[in-house]
Amino acid sequence: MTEPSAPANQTIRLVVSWLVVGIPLVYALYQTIRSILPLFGG
Amino acid sequence: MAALSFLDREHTVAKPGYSRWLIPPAALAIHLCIGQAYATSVYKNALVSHFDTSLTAIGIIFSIAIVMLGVSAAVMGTWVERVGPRAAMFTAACFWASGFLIGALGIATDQLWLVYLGYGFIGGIGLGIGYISPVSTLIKWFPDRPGLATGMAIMGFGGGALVASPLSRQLMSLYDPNYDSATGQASGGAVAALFLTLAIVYFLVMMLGVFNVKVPAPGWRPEGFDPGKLKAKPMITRANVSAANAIRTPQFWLLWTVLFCNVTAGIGILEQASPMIQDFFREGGTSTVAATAATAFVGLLSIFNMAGRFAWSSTSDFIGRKPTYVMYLGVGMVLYILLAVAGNSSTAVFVLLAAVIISFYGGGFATVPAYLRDLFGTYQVGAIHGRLLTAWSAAGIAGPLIINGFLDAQGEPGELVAADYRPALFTMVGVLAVGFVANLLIRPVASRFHEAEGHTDAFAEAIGRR
Repeated sequence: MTEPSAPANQTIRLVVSWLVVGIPLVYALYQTIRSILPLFGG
Repeated sequence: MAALSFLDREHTVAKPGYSRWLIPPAALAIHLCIGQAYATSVYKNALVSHFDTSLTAIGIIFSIAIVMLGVSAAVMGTWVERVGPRAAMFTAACFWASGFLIGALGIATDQLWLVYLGYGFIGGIGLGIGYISPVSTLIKWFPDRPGLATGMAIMGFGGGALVASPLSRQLMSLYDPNYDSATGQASGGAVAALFLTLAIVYFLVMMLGVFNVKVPAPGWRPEGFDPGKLKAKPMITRANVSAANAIRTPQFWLLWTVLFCNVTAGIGILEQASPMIQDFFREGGTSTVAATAATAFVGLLSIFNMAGRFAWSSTSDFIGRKPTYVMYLGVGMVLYILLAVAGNSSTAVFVLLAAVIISFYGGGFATVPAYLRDLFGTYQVGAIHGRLLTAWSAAGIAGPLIINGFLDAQGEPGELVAADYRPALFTMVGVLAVGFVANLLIRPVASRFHEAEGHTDAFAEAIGRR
């Protein structure tokens, strides 16, 4: 059995799911990179 | 209970067309939340002041949580396999959020034991169940890229601390106008409110994982993936080994040793990262690295810890699990030697060496579920993973003991220099060498430990038909 094409509303679910975990990760990376700038004299 | 029947394994079988790319964010939703466990330092000083106690007494909260992580992952692994990922993730969310709620009550009522019980004991159970709950499901959805799949989830555990640290600071400054971000001093009320907020937010995010996670239907395989066309590899089994049998094999204990050694060496550096960079560049009693830059160095290591989990675990799908650990442990030994003898030549060299070492530390965690899949099959890989995580708990004791033991013998904190770290670093080289040999000794599991036909899953059956 292989995957048939995905239902249309699944695309929305995929986008929302990845945003829920992606936004905090991007926020964390931004905050951490901001905090490490002093290490490089920034 | 009928209301909770949606948690049953039979209700979580994916219908045709369900995208497997919904599973990694489901797993990430769990790991991003439980990864908070490594951000406890943000409110540690506030709790010391609030309870008028020592750092050690507050540190016990974290220690209980990590011990409970190892214990619950080992004990509950078979249950997690039996009930399926949705029930396991729901249980983890309930334990994790309850831990924060009881912890908040303990802080609000000045009862430290309630924080031990809540965050430490109950939250720790949530940590263990949550950590292993998505692993076996991910491996089944990604038979073509198990390293990539588990790397994404376990990267989330590293990312969880990165998220929780700034988030907790911002929330504490919101709840306490006198919050001092430099010293981490906040009122007990602000930390209690933080715990309450985190309980609600984490529970809701973890529910995203609960509702999205599904197991593949029997016979499902990814589009374009034909197990029959895969080249047979001696280190990737077609059979299945139960969790009870796995711990009777030398392979399990060799891999336990590999993980223990890799984590022990990495924790040694992580534990000491901030003072270490200052000590390496101390001249005439004063360090050329400012305290703020040392804190920033810890943040940089966190990024490499997280990135290593994803990057190296994904790479292992191409180069194989055993060669990947040869790299972690073999190149790791070289890097530790370089750190010991040339780490103080420049901050750039020091930072680069430490960053790669920590990426190997993270990679070691993320690659091990796929290594277990290769050796023991998918049948009870989550439960076997849970038992293997006791190596993490043991390394959590051994790593700091080694580094602190050597440094205590060399002198006083704040007066140490690069040379004082050499005995500890060379000891870590020895620890890595033990892991390196253990990895080389790993061979395919003997057939007497294999399960009979029927104790298999779709992937193994397809492979077996070739």
